[in-house]
Amino acid sequence: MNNYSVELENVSKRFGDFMAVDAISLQIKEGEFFSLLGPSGCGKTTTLRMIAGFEQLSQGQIYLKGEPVAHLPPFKRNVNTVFQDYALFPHMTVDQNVGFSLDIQNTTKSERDDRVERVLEMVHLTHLKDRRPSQLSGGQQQRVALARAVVNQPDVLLLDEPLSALDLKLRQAMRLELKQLQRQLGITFIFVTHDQEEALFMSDRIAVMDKGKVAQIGSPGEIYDRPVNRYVADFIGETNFLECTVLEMDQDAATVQVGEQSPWRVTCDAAGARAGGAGVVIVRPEKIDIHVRMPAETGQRIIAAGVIRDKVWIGTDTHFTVALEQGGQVRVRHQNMVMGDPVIGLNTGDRVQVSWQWEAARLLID
Amino acid sequence: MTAARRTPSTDADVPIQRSDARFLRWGKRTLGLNAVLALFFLYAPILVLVIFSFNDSKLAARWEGFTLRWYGSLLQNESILHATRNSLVVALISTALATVFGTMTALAMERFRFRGRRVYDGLLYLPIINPEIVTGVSLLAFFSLTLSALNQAFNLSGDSALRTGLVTVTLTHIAFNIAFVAVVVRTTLKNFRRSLEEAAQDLGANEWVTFRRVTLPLIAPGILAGALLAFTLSLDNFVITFFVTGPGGATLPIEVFGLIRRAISPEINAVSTIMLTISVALIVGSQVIMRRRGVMSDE
Repeated sequence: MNNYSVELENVSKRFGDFMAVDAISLQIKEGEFFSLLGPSGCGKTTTLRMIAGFEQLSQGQIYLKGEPVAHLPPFKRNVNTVFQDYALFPHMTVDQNVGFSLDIQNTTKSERDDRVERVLEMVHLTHLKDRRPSQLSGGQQQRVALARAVVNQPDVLLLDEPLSALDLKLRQAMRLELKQLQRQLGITFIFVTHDQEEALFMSDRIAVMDKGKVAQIGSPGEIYDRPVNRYVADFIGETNFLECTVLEMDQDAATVQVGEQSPWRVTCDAAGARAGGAGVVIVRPEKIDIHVRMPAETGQRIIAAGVIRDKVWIGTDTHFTVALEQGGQVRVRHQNMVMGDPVIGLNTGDRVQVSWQWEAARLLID
Repeated sequence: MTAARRTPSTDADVPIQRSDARFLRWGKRTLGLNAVLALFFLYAPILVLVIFSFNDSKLAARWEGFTLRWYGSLLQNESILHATRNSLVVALISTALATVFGTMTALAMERFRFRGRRVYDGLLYLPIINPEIVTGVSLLAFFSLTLSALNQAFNLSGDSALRTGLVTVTLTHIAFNIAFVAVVVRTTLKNFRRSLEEAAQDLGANEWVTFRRVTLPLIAPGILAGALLAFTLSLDNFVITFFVTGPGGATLPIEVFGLIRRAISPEINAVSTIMLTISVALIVGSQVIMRRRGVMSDE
């Protein structure tokens, strides 16, 4: 016995010659908000549909609360789905939509009404319960879909890009609401999205998917700060990539050289890293400082000289593109915190110094 | 925008635009005239027929005054009443069965990928595009072969022998109506979102409950429209029916044809007017149902 809510064991899905999902294994804990993140075609929706029971597995097994379910039809799995297009029944009212799963069981009328009432309250739709889906806004339809999926108290709620059809403002509000709802209900959420911001915002853990495989699983912080490869680093947030040569390997750290300049110390836990090999250094733009004058040498910071190639002021921040003397270029995100900050006065063509805490840079091996 | 687009154009463009406008105006007028003429040729004869069904004269050519007596005398005409009953029985039975089979066919064609699906798809349209006379002749050949084989096998002869009649007419109408129902229902299914069925199953409904509570209510307007079309086609069919009917199996169109060969009677005008009214009502009904469904699914 384990206490995983959902467990995927070596699950594959083949469509003809195309491997949509390629031997993935996941363990999702009870009450976890788990996201499957990746670009379209990475297999995230197929994975979700296999958990729901809409797709047959080509290989592997899925366990819900420790029970194998791969052979069960969707209506025999205690899992409910919020569909991307909401899939509300157009011929039923909000009340009938939400009560559907209770109506087809032998739930007593009073209990049915009670439960429908409670979830409608939770999504603030009590006043619209006699409307038809076509008379609701996109956001309201989404709430109905959510209410309908949780009214039967599933063990797991599957959400297939439920926010993608909403406009930006509503999407941001719904993120917060979804997260609160998940805490309130305490059920496991598996959330499929291509929007990394959404995933970082809501998830306890994220599985970043790439071409049917899981590239990395971890908390938002782990995925952001310690991506395992270039794909994850590139997909999550913005990153600078600097090609380098590895000079020396330590425990959790490495010495690398970019161009002809003095070597840098970077963090590293890549298995394939070895002295003399090639690699890539990643540094996030917000981790880099930009200096008008040469900063004091501390040993804790890596300092590099360069020329500003591009500058964009966006109110909260100023974004610089700096071409480094040793080759490569970095994007720098400078917070406009101080009034009269000389950095904000910098212009294209100016010579500058950039620096970062040595731990902020990370060596990846392709 | 507009200014920018105009810049490259020169004065030479202007006369062309003018003649374009003249051409358009001329085209519009001709099209209008065409429509009026088309409507006239299509509907004037029908209008004449309807008017003369109320004509108080034995002769079809002159208006003598308004009367309902041809409608009254229909009720006394034993053979017309018999034919009407035949037509209704055939139409009801063939509609009911063709609707069930046609809907099932449409669902299978829309939902499943099976071997020979494309061939079957083509074959399904055949009864619709096949000239009725070909369908009629081939069915007659088919029925006479099968019936004589059955008569021989069971040693039936004389009065007890099986022959063409109302039963063969009904079978025939079922056969061609299946195609029409299937085509109409399929257009409804084309717009059907599969995620609705998935949602139902996801919420705990098995296949049958899903069909009954989600699929069927949503495609019901299409099925009803198909059924109304089938009913009308059955009621109106002459050519195919003419070949496969037999003694005592005359439907209303067959009976009317028989009457007209003897003499053109205003009674025929009256019968035709009634049939026209029923057909129009059914077609309009099916259109209204289809349109209402369109509004409902339009989210």
